[in-house]
Amino acid sequence: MSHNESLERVLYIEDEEDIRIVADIALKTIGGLDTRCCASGPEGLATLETFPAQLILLDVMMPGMDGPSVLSEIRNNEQYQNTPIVFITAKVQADEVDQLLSLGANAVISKPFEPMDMAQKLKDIWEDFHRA
Amino acid sequence: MPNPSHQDINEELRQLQRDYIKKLPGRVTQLVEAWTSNLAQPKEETLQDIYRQAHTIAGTSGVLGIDEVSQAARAIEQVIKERESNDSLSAEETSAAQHSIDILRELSTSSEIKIREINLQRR
Repeated sequence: MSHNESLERVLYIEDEEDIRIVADIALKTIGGLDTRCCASGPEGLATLETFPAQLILLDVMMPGMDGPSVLSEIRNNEQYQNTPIVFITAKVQADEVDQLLSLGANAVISKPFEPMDMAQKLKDIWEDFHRA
Repeated sequence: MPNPSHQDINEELRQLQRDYIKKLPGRVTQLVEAWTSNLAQPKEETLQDIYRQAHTIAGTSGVLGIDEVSQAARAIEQVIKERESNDSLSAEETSAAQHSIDILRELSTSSEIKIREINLQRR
């Protein structure tokens, strides 16, 4: 698959406010990405109705609707069936990463992440996704 | 409006770290309360609650550069995640979790808590 589009719009769904603030600085201010950070799965799904994210970053463990449930809902929306989704989680053991990928995620980033490397990491995932 | 300078962003991040450290004793107290409740009456639901709280403290502290706190919380999370029984911890698991909870409690109220600077320079 070839593409000319660069990564510009990212949605991050994360229940922890402090992490959202750091991610917002890392992605928006440092990475120059148009970023929306949402506190819950339902809020993220509602945001996707008006914000056409090119890549979605998703926390795995959240109260109420967890990351895998949000992923499943996103994939039910035709507009986002092929949008790269990246899980962010502390669960980095190989079998758990495989399990998350098997749910339909395109990549898994381990938490804690290095805030200042985050935007570049997402841009690399975006490039890999389109190179595949 | 001009973009914030690296200096402004660094100060915002430092303020975020300071604010988080102020909140930390309250969060650890909540976790200790759940732990104490579980010692008195072990329940799977309470263990799940402790696991979620430890997971959150570990993740947020790690991102904010409070690494010792993150490691202690991660150790609690690991013990609960890898426990042999669903609804209770063995004596050995209880002892390991208690050790990390004691470390976490001490760190959360320490005036000498180590904070790693979140540096804007890419490495």
